Amino acid sequence: MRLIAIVHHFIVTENLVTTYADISNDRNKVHLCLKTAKEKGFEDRIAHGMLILAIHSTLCTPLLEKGWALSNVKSKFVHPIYIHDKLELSSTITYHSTKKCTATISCTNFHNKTTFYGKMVFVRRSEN
Amino acid sequence: MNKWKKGQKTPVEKIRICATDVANYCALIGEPSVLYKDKTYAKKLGYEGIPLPYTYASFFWQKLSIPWLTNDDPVILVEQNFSYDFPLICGVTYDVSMELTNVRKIHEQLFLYHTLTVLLEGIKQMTMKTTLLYEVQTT
Repeated sequence: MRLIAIVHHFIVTENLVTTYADISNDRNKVHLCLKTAKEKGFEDRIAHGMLILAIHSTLCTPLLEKGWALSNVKSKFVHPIYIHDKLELSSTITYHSTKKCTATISCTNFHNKTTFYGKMVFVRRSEN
Repeated sequence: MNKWKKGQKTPVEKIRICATDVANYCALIGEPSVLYKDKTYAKKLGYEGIPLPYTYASFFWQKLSIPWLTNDDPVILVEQNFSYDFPLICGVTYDVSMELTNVRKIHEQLFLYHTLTVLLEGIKQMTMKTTLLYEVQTT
C-alpha cells in the first residue's frame, strides 16, 4: 500500500478571520478583540477553529472527485491558532482498500506545535 | 446551571443553502474545485446536485435559535466531529436541530457537548458533534 501525503502552507490573516466572522456570524470577541483575547489568557486574537478545519477540508476534495464519499471526520483542537500564524496543514492516507480509505488530519504552527489533529474516513460511492 | 441543562433541544429549522452561499464559502477557504460550483460536473460524479463542503454544516449553528448559548458567550472549540450518511446538497431543504447532549464541569472549565442533526424527509443525512469549552482558565 502506498501512503500519500498532501501538505498546504498558509498564513492566517486578519482579513481571513474577520471575513469568516462576517459570513459565519461568529463574532466571539476572542477572534476580534485583542483586549478580550488577552484577558482570556491568549497571546493574540485567535482564529476560528472551524475556519482552519474548513481550509484543511480542501485537501480531501480530490478524493471526493474520484468516487469517494466522506463518511466520518473526527478532529480535536489542542492549541490556539493566532492571527498571523503560519500553518502547515497536512493529510496522509493511512489505509486504503477498494471500499474504504482513511486519512489523518494535522495542523501545525511555525513553532512545530500541533494545533489540531484528527482522522477522516471515506467510503466508495455506490454510484461509481 | 439551569442554563446548561442537558437534553435541551432547539426547534427544528428548515434550512436551504443556495449555490451562491457555497461559492462564497469556497472562495473564503480557498477551495478551487469546480465540484462546488458546477452542477453538471457534480452530477457527472454521481451527486444529486452541488454538494456542500463537509464543514459547511457548522454554519447551521447560526441559523438555529440556541437558548443556552449567545454570540457573546466566551466559548472555544475543543472537538468537532462529522458523520455523513449522505452528502448535503445545494437547493435542498433540510430539517436541522441541535441538542445539548451533555455538560461536564472540570475544575473551573465547563465542557458543552452538542449534536446537530440534519434530516431530509425524516431520514438522517448527517450529524455534527461539537464540544465547546465555556470558561477559559487564565494563567
